Amino acid sequence: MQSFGKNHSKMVRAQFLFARVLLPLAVWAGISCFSRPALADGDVTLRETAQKLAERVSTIPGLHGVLRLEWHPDANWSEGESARWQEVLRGEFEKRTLSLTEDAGAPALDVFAAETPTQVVLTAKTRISERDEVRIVAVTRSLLPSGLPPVAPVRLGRQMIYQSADRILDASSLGNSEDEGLAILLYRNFEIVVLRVDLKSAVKETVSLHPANVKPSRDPRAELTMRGSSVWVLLPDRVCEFSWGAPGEVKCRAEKPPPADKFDWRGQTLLTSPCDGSSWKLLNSGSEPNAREVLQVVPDGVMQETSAAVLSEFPGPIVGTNGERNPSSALVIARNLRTGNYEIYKITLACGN
Amino acid sequence: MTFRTKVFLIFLITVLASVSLVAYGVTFYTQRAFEQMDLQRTHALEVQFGKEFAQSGDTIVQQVENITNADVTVRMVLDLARPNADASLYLHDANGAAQSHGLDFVEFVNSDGTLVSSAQYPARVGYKTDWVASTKNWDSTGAFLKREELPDAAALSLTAVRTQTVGNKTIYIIGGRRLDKNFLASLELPEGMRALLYRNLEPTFIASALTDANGGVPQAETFQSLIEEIQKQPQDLTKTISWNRDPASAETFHAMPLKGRNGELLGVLLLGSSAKELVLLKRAILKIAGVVSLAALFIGLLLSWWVSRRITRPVEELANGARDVASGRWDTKIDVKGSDEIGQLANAFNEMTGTLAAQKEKLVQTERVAAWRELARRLAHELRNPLFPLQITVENLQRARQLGPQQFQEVFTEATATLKAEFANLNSIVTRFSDFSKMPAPEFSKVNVNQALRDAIRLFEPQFTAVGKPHIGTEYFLSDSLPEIDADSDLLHKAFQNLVLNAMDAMPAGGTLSLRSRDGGETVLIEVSDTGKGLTPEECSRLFTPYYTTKQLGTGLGLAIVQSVVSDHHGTISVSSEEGHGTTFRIELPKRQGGTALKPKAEAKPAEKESERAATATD
Amino acid sequence: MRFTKLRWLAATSAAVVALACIGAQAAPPRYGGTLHVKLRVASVSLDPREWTPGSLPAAASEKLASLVYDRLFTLDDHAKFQPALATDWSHDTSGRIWQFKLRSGVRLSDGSLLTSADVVASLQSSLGKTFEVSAAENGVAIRAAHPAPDLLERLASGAHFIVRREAGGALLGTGPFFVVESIAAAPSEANPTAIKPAKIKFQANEGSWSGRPFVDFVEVTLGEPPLRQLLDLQVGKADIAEIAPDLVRKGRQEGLRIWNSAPQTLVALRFDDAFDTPASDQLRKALWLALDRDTMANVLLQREAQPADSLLPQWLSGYAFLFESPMNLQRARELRAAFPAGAPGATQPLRLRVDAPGDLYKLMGERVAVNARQANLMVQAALPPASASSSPALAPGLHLIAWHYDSLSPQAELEAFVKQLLGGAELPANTTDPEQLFAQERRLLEDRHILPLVLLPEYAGVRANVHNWNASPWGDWRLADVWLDSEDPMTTKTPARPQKNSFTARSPGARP
Repeated sequence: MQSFGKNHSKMVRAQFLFARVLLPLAVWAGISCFSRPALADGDVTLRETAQKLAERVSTIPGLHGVLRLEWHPDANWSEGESARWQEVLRGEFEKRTLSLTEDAGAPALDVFAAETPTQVVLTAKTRISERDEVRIVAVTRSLLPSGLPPVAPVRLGRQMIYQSADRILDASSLGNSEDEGLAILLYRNFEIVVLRVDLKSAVKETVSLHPANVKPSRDPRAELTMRGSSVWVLLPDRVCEFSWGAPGEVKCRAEKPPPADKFDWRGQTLLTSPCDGSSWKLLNSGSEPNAREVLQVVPDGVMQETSAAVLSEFPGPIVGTNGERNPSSALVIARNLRTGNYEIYKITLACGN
Repeated sequence: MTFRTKVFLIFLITVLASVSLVAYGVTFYTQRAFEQMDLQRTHALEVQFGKEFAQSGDTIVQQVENITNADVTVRMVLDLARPNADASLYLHDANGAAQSHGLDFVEFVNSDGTLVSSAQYPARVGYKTDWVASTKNWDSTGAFLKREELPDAAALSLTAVRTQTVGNKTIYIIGGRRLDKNFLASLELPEGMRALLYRNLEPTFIASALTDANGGVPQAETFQSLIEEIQKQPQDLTKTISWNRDPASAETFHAMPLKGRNGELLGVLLLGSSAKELVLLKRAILKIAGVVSLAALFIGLLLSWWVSRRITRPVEELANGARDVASGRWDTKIDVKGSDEIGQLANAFNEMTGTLAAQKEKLVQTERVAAWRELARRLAHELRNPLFPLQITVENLQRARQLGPQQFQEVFTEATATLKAEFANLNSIVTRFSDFSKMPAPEFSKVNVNQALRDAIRLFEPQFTAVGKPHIGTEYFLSDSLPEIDADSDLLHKAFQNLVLNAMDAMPAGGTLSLRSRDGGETVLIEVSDTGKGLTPEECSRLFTPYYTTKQLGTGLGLAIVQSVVSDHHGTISVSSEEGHGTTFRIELPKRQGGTALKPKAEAKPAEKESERAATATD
Repeated sequence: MRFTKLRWLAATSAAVVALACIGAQAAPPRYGGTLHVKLRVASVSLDPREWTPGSLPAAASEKLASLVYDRLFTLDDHAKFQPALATDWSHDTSGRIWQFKLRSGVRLSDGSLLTSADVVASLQSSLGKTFEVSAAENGVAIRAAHPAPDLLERLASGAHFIVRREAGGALLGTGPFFVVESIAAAPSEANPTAIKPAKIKFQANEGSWSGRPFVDFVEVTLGEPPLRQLLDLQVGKADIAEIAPDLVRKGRQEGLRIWNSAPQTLVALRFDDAFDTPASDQLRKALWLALDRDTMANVLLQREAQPADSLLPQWLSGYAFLFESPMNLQRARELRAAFPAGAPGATQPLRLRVDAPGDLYKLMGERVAVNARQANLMVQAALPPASASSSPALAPGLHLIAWHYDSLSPQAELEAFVKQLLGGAELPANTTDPEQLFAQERRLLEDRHILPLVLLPEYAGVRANVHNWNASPWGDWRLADVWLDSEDPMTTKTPARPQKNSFTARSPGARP
């Protein structure tokens, strides 16, 4: 049985509030080239919502002449999200012969966006002859597109290769290279499930541990390990094993978890620099579940030398890392606070700034 | 009232007056002394209150200064001095300061007068408190009375203000204690005294604003007039209030106005002194005085009785002796010894009665001789009248013997007629005298006096209006409610007839005869008046003497008969007259003849009786 | 170069933080311990039928109910409905007919299986007559009288728990905990004038379909004074405690970790129907113009509240910012000067009854009176008698009420508000359209029978030993996900199997 990882030094816990304020952490990297159907649907919904609002605004009696569009996005939105909405709204307004201008002297058409627990509410307000005209539409948030991922720093390559609304507990490349796809351990509908997905994120195989009497647990710790065609799932109180192609033959046995102070889940995730072959380790702050987390990649063995550290802020907390299969890349599993989805990123080190 | 009673009362009154005077004097001076003491106590209490007030004020000033100089306050001022400082951070600080320093009211006010924090009225935070920012020298000002606005009502507080300045930023620290029953409870009051506080926080009198050391004051409305008087003119005032009819419940209140910083009347302190002690003392004194008075009265009674007896006994004997003399025992002697005036009077009395007894016999002899002489004179006069014609007639008969038989027969017939008339006259005279000498004893029955008067008049009415005779008018003033009396109707009738005849005789030229009757209580009063020439006083005095008459003719027995009848009826008769105006006879008869059996009333035969009466009526 | 400089800054910051965190490790979750929770209300009921919508006790009851019951699904913080007792759902195009597939194999606390009949009975009771709930194949079907596109929001919040009612009155749930002990409030033995608060103890359900919770027990104490709760947090007698808004500053100054929700409670003034005359129009408007909400929120409540101009908060409706309540003291005085003689508020004070319990609401009532006095309106604040319910009661006069939002559907919330507080008004159905909702809300506010004052968030103090605190912005504490740092010496008992009648719905105290 594979050990539960090296007994490396403990994961460092850091709080980066000050860093978040100072640093312009929104650096865009190459957008994922996966074209997921969900993204397209979300765009359509956004557009449809904008259309609906524009139609309602165009029916305001007495509304003519040029207008100055004043956009008031929700305070929680990122610049990209806000810009996207503004762009679509402007387009829809103009389609309905509403002339928009930047002229400060023109009458204002204020459009407000506000998030509620389940919806985005768009409110258009303008003043026509001493009276305020208001038009309001709403759209279900879950139908809207997810936030665009930030771009990793130049030296740290980051690419989202999978995302799921279900909680991802761990992920592992199927083979030594990621070209063989991923095995993803996730918690779906209170069941622990292992997926085998291909490069296109298509699910090829689904294995549920539920038939093996694996009960749901609130403890998010879990580890996926590949041993040839065998898949090992390590849980806090048991170990399960099965093989691809025989999903019904999941065998689990109870394993007493080691003491908390001695137990260490998968240790440091290490990367090898393609530039000089040096070893780098991934450090994450381990903050509370509602905070964005910054991933640090620092040279292995170095705690005080920080000039070479590279940072990458993720859209939410990092729930796990896995780099054992491939030394040049690692998998980082993070939760997107905006959308609630769990995302798997491939982290690579690239030379140069 | 007897002399003894008078003397007794005089002595008694003298004793009582002396005792009362002494008791009053003691009571008066004791009360005054007590009131003086009460005034002094009240004054001492006022002074004490003033000291307590001042001391409380000093304590409050000290507590406010402690708050002012506390680190937290200094830090607050420092913080608020910064630009864009957030005053809301200190919202609850005043409450904490109030609790830790034992004050009821604490407020922090910014330099612009904005309320930063309030222990008693946090809802007012953010509003202006102009009065505090407008005064400059708070740090040298002592505690003062203030009206404190609270969420539910206003309160009265003893307040002090201090400032804390950092740079050009000043914070005002206002602290105070409520002036309520707890403050009053802290005053040490002697027995029988109490303190009330009226919080003058409303324009009109509010009963619930009056409190004592225990809280609300019962019957607080009683103080309304006093409070209103002070509200009109804020100055010391004293008033006594009685809580019920018992004087011991009264309380004297000395009211002192309590003014605020600007001279406004904010409260009234009432120091009450119970009159109970004084009243009880008075009652005790009165009780003692009463007991002493009763004892003195008793002793006085005995003494007065003994003294008055000693003094009045000789006088009584003298009076008894005089009574005996009046009742006819002219030889009464009294036994009074002594050389004082009473003894001398007794000797003089005895001397007088001796002389009277001797004189009485002589007087009776003289009266008898005078009455015999009068009777002889009247008899001679009465008899002479008929005797003269008798004499003439006999002489005529003697002369007629010389005449012829026919002439003698005529003279003889006329002479015998004359003789018979004069013999009848003589008989009548003798009969009248005989009747008078043996007038019968009255037989009493119920008699209507008014009816008897009318009956008496009726006999003579024809004569009143007879042609050729002088007209006599009659007037009746008879009481309709006159009851029947016990009388002899015949004798009464006779008496009334005589009076009427007498009145007729007194009015030869006519006039008015008046008859009056009225109820005199236990008697009836009858008056018969005429408007004749009247009588002289001498005539009045001799009127009822038998055979006395003012008329040329007549036996003079009429009024004597009237007097005899009246006397038999135990009544009285009197006469009053004025020459030229007439005469009034007044008869007073008792209604009841005590102990005398009444004759049943007989039916009268008016005609027969009237003729009899007419026959017996005398002139 | 610029990037290098930035990287250096970032690295320096990171190093500082890293140095500070050397030796620290990301602690793994721990099972065990007793979570001590303090709530301000004096009594709760675990029977959703007894809850009065909008009341503060109902809000507390809902928190505790979520320990012992489940709903069909939950709403996560990312606008996604997560399956719970229902695993799947669908609806027709009209939004009137909904189908829910139930999770199989779910057991109640007595060990019996949850059935469709249980779900039908619970939901029919909680949804009311406008919905028809029936059993369907592997689940339930809900037919609405009108299109109900917001049905999911309704079912994911409020009183729509799935509860089985036993014949004897016991209530059973499928939640991660069950009640093992409840103690009513009683006079203290040491000091008879003091009251020992009520307590409820929940034990972890080992066989919970959603996974055994981390803590073994949750001990809830009710009705302690706010300051006492704060002290308990500081000295470690409480792990989680509600904190009154006026004590939040103090808590932060003491270094406590304070969590707050989105604004959950609306404090407002409500005129009774007796004030429905033309003369009263002026009074209501004058009072509306005299109220200084900004100062109330920023000064009196020390910025721990927001001024409120609407019935629904911005986070729920998305359009609350369109409402305005401008303060105009001059105009208020003019209106007041035109009052007819003898009108309330003129010569005779208008009685303001503070229906919500606690010193904070009394303070707000007094503040309203002070505001009114600035406009020459005589208003006198008073607390109701001790026996009165703390829910918005319908008694004549002016009332200061506290309304707690408990639905995720703006329409449902508005319906409940109107039904409870404006008995006469009616909302047309099918108004999930926000524009129509806005129009309705505006109409309801136009006659000034309701004058919103401020919005108050919920505050809770969370001790440092509590981990994975992940309460939702709308106040769902999610205590089943919380775990504790160290062993609690009090919890030495071995968890027992839940008994069938191990608890009844009635908890200490009266119904909310």
